[in-house]
Amino acid sequence: MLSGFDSHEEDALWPSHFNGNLASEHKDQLSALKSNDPDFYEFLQQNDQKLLNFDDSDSLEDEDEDEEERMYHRLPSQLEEADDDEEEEEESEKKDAKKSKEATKVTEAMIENWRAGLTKEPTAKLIRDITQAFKAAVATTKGDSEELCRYTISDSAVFNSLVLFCIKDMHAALSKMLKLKAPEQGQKKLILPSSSPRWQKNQIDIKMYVAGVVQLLSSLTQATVIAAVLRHANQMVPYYLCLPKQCRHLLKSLIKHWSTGEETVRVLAFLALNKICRHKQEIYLNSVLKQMYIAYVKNCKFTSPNTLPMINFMQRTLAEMYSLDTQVSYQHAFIYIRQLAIHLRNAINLKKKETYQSVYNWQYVHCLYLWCRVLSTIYPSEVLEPLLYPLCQVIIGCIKLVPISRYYPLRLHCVRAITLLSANTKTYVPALPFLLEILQREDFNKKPGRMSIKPINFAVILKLSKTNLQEKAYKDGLVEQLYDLILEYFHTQACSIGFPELALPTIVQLKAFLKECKVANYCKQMRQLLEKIQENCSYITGRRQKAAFGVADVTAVAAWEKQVAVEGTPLTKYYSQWKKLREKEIQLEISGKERMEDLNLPEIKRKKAEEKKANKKEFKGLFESDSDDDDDDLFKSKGKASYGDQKKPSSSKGKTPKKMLSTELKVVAEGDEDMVEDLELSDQD
Amino acid sequence: MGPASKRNKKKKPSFRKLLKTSNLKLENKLKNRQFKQQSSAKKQRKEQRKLRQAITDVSHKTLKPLERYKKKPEGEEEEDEEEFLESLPVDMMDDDDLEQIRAMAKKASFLTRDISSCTPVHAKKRKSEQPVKKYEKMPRKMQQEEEKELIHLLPIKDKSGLIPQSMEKPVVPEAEEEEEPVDQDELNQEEEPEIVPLLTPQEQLELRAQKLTEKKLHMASLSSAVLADPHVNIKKLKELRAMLMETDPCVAVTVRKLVMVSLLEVFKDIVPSYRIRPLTEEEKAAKVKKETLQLREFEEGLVSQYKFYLEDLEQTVKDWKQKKQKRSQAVSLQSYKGLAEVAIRCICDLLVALPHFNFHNNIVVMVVPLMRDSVKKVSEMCCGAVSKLLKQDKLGQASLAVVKVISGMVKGRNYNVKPEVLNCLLCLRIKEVEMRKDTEDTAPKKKFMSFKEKRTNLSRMQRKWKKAEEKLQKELLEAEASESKDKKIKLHTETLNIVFLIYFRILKKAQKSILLPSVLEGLARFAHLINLEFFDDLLSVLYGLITSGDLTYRESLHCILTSFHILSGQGDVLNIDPLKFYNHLYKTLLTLHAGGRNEDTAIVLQCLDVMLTKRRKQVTLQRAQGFLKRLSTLSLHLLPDSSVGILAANRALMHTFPKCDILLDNEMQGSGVYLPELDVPEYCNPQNTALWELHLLKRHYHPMVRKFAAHLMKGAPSEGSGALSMELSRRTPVQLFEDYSVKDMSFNPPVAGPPSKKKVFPSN
Repeated sequence: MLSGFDSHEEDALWPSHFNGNLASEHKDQLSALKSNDPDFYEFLQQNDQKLLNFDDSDSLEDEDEDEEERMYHRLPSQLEEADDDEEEEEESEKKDAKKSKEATKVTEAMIENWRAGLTKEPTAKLIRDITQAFKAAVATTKGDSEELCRYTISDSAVFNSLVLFCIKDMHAALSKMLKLKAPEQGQKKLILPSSSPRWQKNQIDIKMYVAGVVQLLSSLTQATVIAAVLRHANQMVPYYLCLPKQCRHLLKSLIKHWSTGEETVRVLAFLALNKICRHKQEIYLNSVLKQMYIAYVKNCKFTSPNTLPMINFMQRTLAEMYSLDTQVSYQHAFIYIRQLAIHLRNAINLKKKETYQSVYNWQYVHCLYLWCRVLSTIYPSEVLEPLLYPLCQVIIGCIKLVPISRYYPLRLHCVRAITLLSANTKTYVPALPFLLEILQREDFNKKPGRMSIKPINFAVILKLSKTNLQEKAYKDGLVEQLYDLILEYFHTQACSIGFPELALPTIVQLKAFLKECKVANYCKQMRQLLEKIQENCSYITGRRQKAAFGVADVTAVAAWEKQVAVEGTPLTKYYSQWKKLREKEIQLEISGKERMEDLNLPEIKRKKAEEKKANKKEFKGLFESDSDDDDDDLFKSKGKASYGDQKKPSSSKGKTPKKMLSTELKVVAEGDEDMVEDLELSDQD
Repeated sequence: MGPASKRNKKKKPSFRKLLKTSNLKLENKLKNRQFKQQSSAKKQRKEQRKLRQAITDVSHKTLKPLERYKKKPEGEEEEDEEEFLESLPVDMMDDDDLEQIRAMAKKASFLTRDISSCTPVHAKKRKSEQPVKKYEKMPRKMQQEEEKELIHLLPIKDKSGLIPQSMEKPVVPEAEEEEEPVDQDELNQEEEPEIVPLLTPQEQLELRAQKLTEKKLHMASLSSAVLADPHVNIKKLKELRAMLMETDPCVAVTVRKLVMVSLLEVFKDIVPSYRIRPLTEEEKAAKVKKETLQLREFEEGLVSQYKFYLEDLEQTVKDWKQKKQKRSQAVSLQSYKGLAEVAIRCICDLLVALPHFNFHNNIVVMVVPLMRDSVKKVSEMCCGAVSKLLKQDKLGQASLAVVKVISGMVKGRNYNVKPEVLNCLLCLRIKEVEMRKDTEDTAPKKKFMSFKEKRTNLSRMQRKWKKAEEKLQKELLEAEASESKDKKIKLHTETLNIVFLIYFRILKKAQKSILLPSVLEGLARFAHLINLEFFDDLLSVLYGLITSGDLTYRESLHCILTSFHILSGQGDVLNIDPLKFYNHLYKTLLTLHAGGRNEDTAIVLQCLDVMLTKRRKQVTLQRAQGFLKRLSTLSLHLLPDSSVGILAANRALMHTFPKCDILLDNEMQGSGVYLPELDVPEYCNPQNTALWELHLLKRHYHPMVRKFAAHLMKGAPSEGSGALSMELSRRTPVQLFEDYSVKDMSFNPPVAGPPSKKKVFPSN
């Protein structure tokens, strides 16, 4: 049930016992046991009722979980499940455990004691004990390397309750012990624990504990557990900030989770990363950005309907990270865009198939898209603006490298990136010629050679096969894509005073197309497009004719364009209607697609379940696979609805991703106050 | 060719006549001259007949397709000859031979029999690579040739016959080339790892390596001896050349290739910088000094060896083309291709390197038909060589020969040649020609007055003076080492006439052929040199082409450019209204876009320059405005370099037609609305629109486009705040287009690197 990303991770302590589908397996085993060995079954019945009442639904209640714990995303119950599971092996394990008899064995009672102690008065000694126990617990995850610990954990139930206890109570206890002031409402600065007078004394214990958390984080495989530990790590960020070595380890582990985990884990990991980078920018930001970029590139090698949302998520969040410091971002962007340009230049000069491959791949395209997103997220920035020029040139050079029809999907991706860029940065980048060229070169009248059932999903392919080119689905899809992209591109320029001139070649081309084409379906679409464009043309022409200023008057033209944008043009109005319809269509398509995707069937089921749990809308942005800028509006409105009162009038940089994240977060973390606060902070910096 | 040469012959004596004073003397001299010329003319005619025959020969014989020979691409041929000599790429050669060995090994007889004495198993089978009888192995061709040849060959034959497997070195290497030992090492290294599935592969290979080394040493010693003292050792050349007939089957291919290349280098080195003419009878009879005699001997030997060498090369190529397994059977059919390619490369090299030397015409005749060879590598090689020759040729003689042969070939093949052949003609370095044929007759008359004139016009003293002066001038002329300008121009004129003949023929007879683009491009390039009398016809043909609609937009752009080149030169006397051409260009403009070929913008820019800026007086304001508007619209949809070029052209337009500034105002002028889709610049009411697209361009991602847009927005002022910098304003649109080229991903202007690390985007 693990998502595709982390299935290959290092063998963890609890290999797959947490897995729900294995739970049912376990049930089968039990029933088999009943028939094979009735005596033992009876013994179990007497001694371990729970094991037999095993159920793979999440409804299992645990008696020692109180109300508060249940807020943790049903995690505790699952943990309990797990240790029930392990009891079977206990017998054999006990023998091993006896060897290290010198160390005290942690029991449930001890944990209860500690808990009581902490609620009363957390002393340094108590903390030390707990830390030692925690360290022992973590040491078991490491496998055979036996360290000298004061305690041993041989019982997985104890392990679970200890870990649970720690991630629940430890943060509060530590701050209480260090006598840290509770952060006031509205206060933006984190209170660093090193400011406490007791810090020096307890530093070693805290260091040990904090290192333990990182260790734990890297050895876990179950998503929900990771999420819980990540949440704890997020709380503990101030402590990490004071301990550079541990912090580096934490960052490494966070980046791994950010790039390979499942949705919730990714979001939480990103929040922690963001928090750390914001508070210790000068130290960590540079290396974190670099590592994140590398992780991003590594993980966008393959694109499928399932991975695309993840890639989009990484793009958005990485763009968010880059917006923290534009000076640093400029250096990164410069170097990496330069790298892209060099790859492209080699491909142009050498003209070999292998060098084409170094450009025409998903990583390259996703990198182009990433930088487009970064530059559009951080738009009004004097520092980053000079990079628009090389980036555009690389994208256009990439389109023109091998302009054959088999690479049309790649070209469409590039045009989409250009559209994103020109929509958000007020930069004019010619993209229409590349679309019109397709319309001109492709013979739509030709009868398709093959019929196909499956529509081609242009979002997740770069290159068409030769058989694809003959299919009807290809031409259908192509016309649809062209319609979408032309409309979207015109939408970005709809209010510009030069719109009629911009549209002229398109109008000429579309007219020629309508004259030639005999397929009614295509003609209908294109005629509609032509009408909308012409309508907008005449609107703009009429308005500008009445204007009292000349071409040279730059400020008047800017004001005029602003005015038009406020009033809206025929095209913008049509676009917003169309967008809504299109989004619905895409939603339907996605659900249909998932049904069809028989390769990863279990995975999809899980996702759907997740979706239901997580308020359905939560991962809309992640699932959105077709165009990415369109969901911004949606998140904008949602973000306002849920957090409208808390949000400060945000500075213009990075509006949408932040809002998006806050909504996501809300759903994910379910009322975790601390994180909401974090996001507000990000606006401030 | 005929009329031109005749005229030359007639003229020469008349020219001489004018220089002489006495009639009697003149007559005598004239007779002598005529006699000489007759004999030389005969020779020339003979040569030309040969030449012509060669053309037809080749055109008849080279028809067969060569699919069967598309064997293996060899990297070897890509290397330079110099490399060849310096670091003899034995590994490649070995491959060839190895292959041959393998091919032979498949037949049991190869191993079981003695190679030199076995009889052919399937003598009738063409492809068989069986060793044959000894007499078969001897080159038959050699026997047909002069006896002398045979004598020199025999010793080598003898030795190989006597000791077939290991040859004795006939000459002790005195001055071995340094690289030889290295080669040997290389060779051994190469040989060891290779395992041929034979009975005693190791031995076979060792034997072969040994033989090869010996041959190479031999070759090297011969070559270096010749190079060290060509006058003395000219005989060794013969010996070296004789190695071309290498018969030992296991090293034949490699050795032959090596010999070809070595000979090429040797010839390139020892050939004098003048043409060697055959001695006359008197000269032969006259007593000369010892040194002169030696020189003559050397020259004679050189020429004959050179000739035989060329013949051998030609024969190799021919054998390959005709798939005949002639000569000795030492070389398998499969190896012919590699051998022929090396031969062609040698010929091409000679074509470029020795245009002044004897037999250059023969080389031309050999190379030109190969330009349309179906093997791409061969045709590319030949086209490249011809282009290089045309580019380098300063005298014009070689160009003329090449053009003549090409013309014959194009016509002979019924226009069925590759466009690359005609594209070579674009490399011709012709700047000026004589516009009228009759000028050349009048020119010399002006220079030297006729005797009669002198008599009437000048006094006795003056005549004496004049005589002295003319004599001096004549001497000066002769002393002038370089070819005179007149002569060069004459050659150029003739060359160009033939080129135009090719072009016009195609325009007239083969409008549908694939050659049309090349023709149009060529016409556009040489348009300013076209003779006035063709203008009318040419223009109507061009217009017909454009209106036919068969042309791609690139071709029609070439058509337009050609027409206006014609019209802008001496054609301005013609009263032709090129309105249709304007309309056509206006219409064609919108077919340009960023997705298409970016290079075509350069043609458009040239067209705009000749059509609007240079003909400002014939262009109406409406038309100029129409173009200005459409060009601005166009610049929205081009790559940045093209946009910069077009905007610069707009700037020039605004300067030429200052009244275009109404396009910057937003006021209605007269009636009508602007009709952007109408394809006639006059009637689209451009005065009623404004250049709003400049605001989009002002937001363009490319800094230079932004700059130009802002500049145009202000009405393209030449000074003040909105003016461009000096360097920019001086550049022409075409230059700007080239400056900001995005072809190879260079960034101009460069992108500023991050402040900490000083890195700048790659800019060329």
